[in-house]
Amino acid sequence: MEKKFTTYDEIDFAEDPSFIRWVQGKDQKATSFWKKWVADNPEKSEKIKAAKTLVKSIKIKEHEPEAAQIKNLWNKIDAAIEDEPETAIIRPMGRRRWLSVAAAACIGLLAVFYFYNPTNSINTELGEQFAYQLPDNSTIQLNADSKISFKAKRFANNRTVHLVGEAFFEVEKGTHFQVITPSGNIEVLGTKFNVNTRSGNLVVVCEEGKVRVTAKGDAQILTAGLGTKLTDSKTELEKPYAVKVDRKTGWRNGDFYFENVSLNQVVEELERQYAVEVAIENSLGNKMGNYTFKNGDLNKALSDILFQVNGAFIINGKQIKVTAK
Amino acid sequence: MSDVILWKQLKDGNKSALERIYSTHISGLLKYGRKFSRNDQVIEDCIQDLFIELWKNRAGLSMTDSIQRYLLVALRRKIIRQLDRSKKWVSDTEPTELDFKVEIAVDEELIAAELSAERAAQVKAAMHNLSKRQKEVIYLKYASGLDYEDIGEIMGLNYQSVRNLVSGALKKLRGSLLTVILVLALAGL
Repeated sequence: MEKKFTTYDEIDFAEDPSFIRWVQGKDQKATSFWKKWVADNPEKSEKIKAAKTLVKSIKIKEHEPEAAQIKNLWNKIDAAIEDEPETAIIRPMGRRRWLSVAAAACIGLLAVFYFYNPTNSINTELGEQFAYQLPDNSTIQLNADSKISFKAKRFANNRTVHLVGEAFFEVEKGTHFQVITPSGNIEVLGTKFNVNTRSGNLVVVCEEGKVRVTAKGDAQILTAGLGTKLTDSKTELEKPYAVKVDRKTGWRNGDFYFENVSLNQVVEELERQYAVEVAIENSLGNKMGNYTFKNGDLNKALSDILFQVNGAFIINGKQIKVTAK
Repeated sequence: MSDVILWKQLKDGNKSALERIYSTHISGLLKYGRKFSRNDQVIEDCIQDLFIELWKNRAGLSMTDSIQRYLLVALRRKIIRQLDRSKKWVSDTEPTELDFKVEIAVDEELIAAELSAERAAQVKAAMHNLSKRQKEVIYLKYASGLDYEDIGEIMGLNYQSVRNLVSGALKKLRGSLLTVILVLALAGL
């Protein structure tokens, strides 16, 4: 990655997306990368300067559209779609006989592929979230450091997804949909729910519809607004209890809420979201309480968490040290 | 919220998803459209049509991982059709290459480095001397921050053509900016 830059001339630099974001001051990550790179490669400083001038010279004069214009245009669009009647689209069935002939010819070939069904898997890194659409149009939003796998072929007939980590599911109506985790399974028909398998636990929260959770031979039915969990020490699922679903799924919008947990658990999530390593004093880490932080600004997230336990922190690159004040 | 999910909500008939898409992208769409025509009314009409069609045909929309790209492709098509139509009505000539006007704003830092009025004019002229297509790729890359694949899809060009247009444009700019670059290098900027 870094090596290729040593062969760059000013045009190559000026074309590089990360270089552009640095010069335009749009990207903190790019800035720290290039500052270091420039310092490490003094022989390229002439080329870098020329490339910077080039990128800077491409500054296009534009006026932001006025708020009134944007609002008026939306009102027009809104009015036009408001009186649109609900219509059903009916497609005539064409009689295409050649199609059946072609299909017959293909069957032999298809049979070969039919039994070949590889497993698709998707994982997210630390500090990364990812939204994915399954072949049946159901969507999965994966939290950081999580993994799903499934068989893409004939997925609609066998909707099974394996999950490790945390994910939010929006399942399209259809056949039986199943999520398999190391500690238990969740079965649904069509609904929205969150599954968390961190630290050997299983926590399922249902936002809409109905889900059935099975673990250790025990089963619980969740309807909207209910949750259940299986923690390492327990032998059966907890009876469904009411939860604030938007808090449990807040991570999807970068808001993290924790109720009655140890600070250690909060710090674990922070490490996943910011891809950092936190060393924390035991006396602090075991403090139970309600915590909340946002994704985006590490300094602020740490202050928010540590404020109530009177903790202090030092950030050193990717390493963070947390101590009592 | 990711584009995939927002787009899916739109397909499912969620009107607030349409509104969200509108409010996120309207500024970029208007600014891009204005490069083709100074007549805001034409651009507004095209955008209005675009969003009405988006809503009407929502169930049949293909999936996209970039709503911005999808909208820019659609808007560009509409503007071309609209402008071609009005041109053909006036004269019967072949549809000409679309005009793409960008005006350059000279960077304050460059001015601060004692950039003379003459050299400031050079920078402007350099941009002016680019071909229309070069101006458009430069705009999409540097002002809208799109990658080569997206630009190619929007302009109906393949990846290599886009790359060639960008590097061609940069070489032209470098030629016109040579003196400026030298001055700045000497000034240690």
